[in-house]
Amino acid sequence: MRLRDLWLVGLCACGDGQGSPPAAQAPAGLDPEVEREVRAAEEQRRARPRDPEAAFALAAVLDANELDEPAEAAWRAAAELAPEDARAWYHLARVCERRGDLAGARAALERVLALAGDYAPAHARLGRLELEAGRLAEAERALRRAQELDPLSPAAPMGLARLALLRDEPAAARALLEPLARRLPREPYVHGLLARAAAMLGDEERARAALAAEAEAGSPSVRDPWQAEVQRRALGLKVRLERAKARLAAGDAAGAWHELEPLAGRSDELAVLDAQCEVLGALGRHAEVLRRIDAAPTELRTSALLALERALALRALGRTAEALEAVEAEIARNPAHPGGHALRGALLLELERPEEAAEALAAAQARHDRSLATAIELARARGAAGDFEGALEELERAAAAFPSAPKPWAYRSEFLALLERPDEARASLAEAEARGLEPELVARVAERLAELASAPGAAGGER
Amino acid sequence: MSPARAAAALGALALGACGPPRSDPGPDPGAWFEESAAARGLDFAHHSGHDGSFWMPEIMAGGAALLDADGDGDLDAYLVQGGRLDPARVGTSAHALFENRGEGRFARAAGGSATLPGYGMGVAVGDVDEDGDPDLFVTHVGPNALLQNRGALRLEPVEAGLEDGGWGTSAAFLDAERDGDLDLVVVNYLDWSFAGELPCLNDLSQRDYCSPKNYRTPARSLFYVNEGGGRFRDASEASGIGTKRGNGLGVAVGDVDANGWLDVFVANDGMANHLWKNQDGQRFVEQGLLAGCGVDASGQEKAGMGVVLADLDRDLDLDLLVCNLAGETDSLYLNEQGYFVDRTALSGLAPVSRPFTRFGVGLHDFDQDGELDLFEANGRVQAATSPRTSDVYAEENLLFRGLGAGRFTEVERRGGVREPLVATSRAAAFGDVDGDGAVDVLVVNRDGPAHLLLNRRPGRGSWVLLAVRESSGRDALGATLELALPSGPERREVASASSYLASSDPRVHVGLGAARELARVTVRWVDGVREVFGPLAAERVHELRRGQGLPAQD
Repeated sequence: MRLRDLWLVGLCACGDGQGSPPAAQAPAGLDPEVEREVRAAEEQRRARPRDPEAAFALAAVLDANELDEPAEAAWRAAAELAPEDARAWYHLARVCERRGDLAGARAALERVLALAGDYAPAHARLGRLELEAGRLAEAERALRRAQELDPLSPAAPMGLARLALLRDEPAAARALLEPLARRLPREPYVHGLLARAAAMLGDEERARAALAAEAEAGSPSVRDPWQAEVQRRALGLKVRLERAKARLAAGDAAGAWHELEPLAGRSDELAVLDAQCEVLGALGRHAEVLRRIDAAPTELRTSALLALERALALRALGRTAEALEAVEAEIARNPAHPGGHALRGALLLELERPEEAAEALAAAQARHDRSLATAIELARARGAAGDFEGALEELERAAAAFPSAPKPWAYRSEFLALLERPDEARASLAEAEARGLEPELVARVAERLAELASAPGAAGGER
Repeated sequence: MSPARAAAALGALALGACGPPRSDPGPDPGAWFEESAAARGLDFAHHSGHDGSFWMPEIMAGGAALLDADGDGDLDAYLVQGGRLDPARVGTSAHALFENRGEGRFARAAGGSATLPGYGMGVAVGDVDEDGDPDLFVTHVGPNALLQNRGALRLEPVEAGLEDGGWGTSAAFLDAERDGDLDLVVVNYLDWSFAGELPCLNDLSQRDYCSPKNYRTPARSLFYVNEGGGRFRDASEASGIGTKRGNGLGVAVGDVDANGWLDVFVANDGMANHLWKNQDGQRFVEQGLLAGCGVDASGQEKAGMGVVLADLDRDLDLDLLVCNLAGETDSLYLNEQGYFVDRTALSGLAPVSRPFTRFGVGLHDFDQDGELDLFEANGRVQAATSPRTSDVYAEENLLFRGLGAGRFTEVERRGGVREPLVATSRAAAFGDVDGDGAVDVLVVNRDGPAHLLLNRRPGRGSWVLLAVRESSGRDALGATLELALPSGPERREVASASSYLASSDPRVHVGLGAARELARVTVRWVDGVREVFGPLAAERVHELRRGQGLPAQD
């Protein structure tokens, strides 16, 4: 059976699924992994046309892989086969919403709430739809019910805060948001909403602080198990790369590599090779990174991504001078990219050329590198060049830009000690500790402060 | 089969699988526009140069201007070509000027159709040398160009100190210093290079165009001061405008805080928008976030594209509409004493706009009932999973009827046309092309023919068209009009730069409904001087020239 036929069955599930679809040429271009999964799900669907689980599985795989048009039809078919299954209606609502059919989404959600009135995410979703449609009373009712059912979810209070802002009630919005911001400091959009409420109340200082906190926010916390159940079916190259990167960011390099294993035969694609090198680097397999990059075709080898991966591998292997040469060649080709400048700065710092390092790191920042790592490297470079005041300034800027980060305060304490300002140094370390600096680091910095305190005149000394 | 064609096949199948057979459409009184480009001689086809490499500029390009280049009273058209991106050599773009030979019938004007170095993006229009005819500034990936209007439809590239090698997108002329000549703000998108291009994937895991956020190389905007004598000075750093980076796409100019100086709003793609508040003509301070228009009501940074400023709630200040990416709604910010309140949820725009990627945008009273309507030109930036045509980026445009007070409803026929026009649309420029007093739309489509949407809305109200000009004869960009309408006072701007990569007719079109005249217009010139004109009879073009009105009484 060819894929187009398979989809035709999915789309015409409004019928009995027994008819022979017209012959058609199979389209290519879908990710092979997705295609296999769709094919398998459709075969199950065809084999068991009255089985709601088979219909659900097909809809889920289409939905998870964002094939929205057939996914909508498939969810409709699943809901018709099992009209008492609130999940099918819920997913139909999600896909309708994604496709811009808000009336369809609302109608499906009404079915969900009739069948599973205690599912908080459905109320929250309905509240958001009503809000967007300007039906404020209906939105409030749905959001309040969502909050009653799941008091820990941020979705309902954030929706209610948006509602309050729309009603020109910034004080009410702020009252909802301040506790949420304290409880979930990394939740995105909470601080942004708070900034809006504060600005409307004329509290510019609070608005600025909230905006700074928003810049540090992470990914939204989603408390929607039904949605998660479908999203687990997402497949294909892009999804695998994203999952690998997410695992890497969470410190699970082995898991990231496991995620990439099915792509072993696709190393001739830049995105794949880049991800493989990044993960191999995190696994400490730097020589393999070099081997893979050097064996790649020229058009891949000369890409900015792999040039930087190569420099990182050389650095990790202790070949710092070669790494510097590689990164400088890349900067010559692609001067706008801040990543090259930042890496050059770090390498120069390692090579004990702090003035040049500071210049390179400042160049990265001038090109919009707003990372904490670069800010701290720049402070270190200034300090290593003997410019402790300059280092302090950099760290204070970093502390303002990343208000919840402990490291600027920890480094600051050390530079304050070097400048023989011990009380301020201790206070700064306390700020770092209050922001969650690991106890062993706190102990190490405290030890360093004690060392510096017992060595008068250390400000001019070697670091 | 290519991924794009495969996706198209799937989409066509999906659409065709269960739907009823389509019958011939009959006469349709619900259509507002008639697509007439080919019939009117506007035979421009945009070329992105796409050859499978997915260079980012290919998906963003396509600019347009409507301007009276030859001073004969009707609107000519300038269309910005893409070209070809080739890492081995600097490309060129063959832009085209079309002469309006009356009633919206066009012919290519050889003298204005220059081939310029760089990959073409957008265009701004203004009389920079005060000689009474409009000059053009064309942005490129590569060097931007000032084209001086030599008369008789001849446009000549001149050195003016405006050359920049970055990725220019939208640009706007404005008298920022209030010294009587036009300065220039140029928005840049990314610090992009061939070497820095990335291998991005779409939702089908196919190679596709990246998000600007992937590059992490936002660019700085530029501000040039007109020094006279055909020269400009780069004041980007000194003014502040060049000190903060963004993925800038759209630009609009207006005095949003009523301090008498023209401010600059820049729509950023995937980053907080920038509102550059003009302090004193020399310095600008960025206050987008604090003024409430940096992010949306949820605190979310959206992918800002096209932008327009207009008084939508008739409180005589400038409100703001920003178009965004699919999955994000439009952002409608109402200006409440200088603070922008996000009222998108109450506007009626959110549910309709969300599925589309909107670029060109305009607020005009197309049906002339006295309320501003909204047109949006749409096209995706990553392939659709279920495309509607063989162009996997193509989408329909949107048309909304204005209900007043910042509320809209979508017109019955999507995009206001009898049969949906599905294309990858970018710039939209607005003006009365065929001289019937109604606002028409010129839309540039990536890798396709431009569309000329002539306004055929039945039962339109009456109108006036106001050419507001300085004593020199140049359009008084930045001047503010207060109209005494039967429904109450309303504010309008003399502006050409808004939308996306576009320049529209700066003449102010006013729908009058059933009224037969506009009783009074108070013009506030850029330097703060105010004059009163009127009454002005309906169904006519009126020139309001500085010095020819009556001094306004406070």
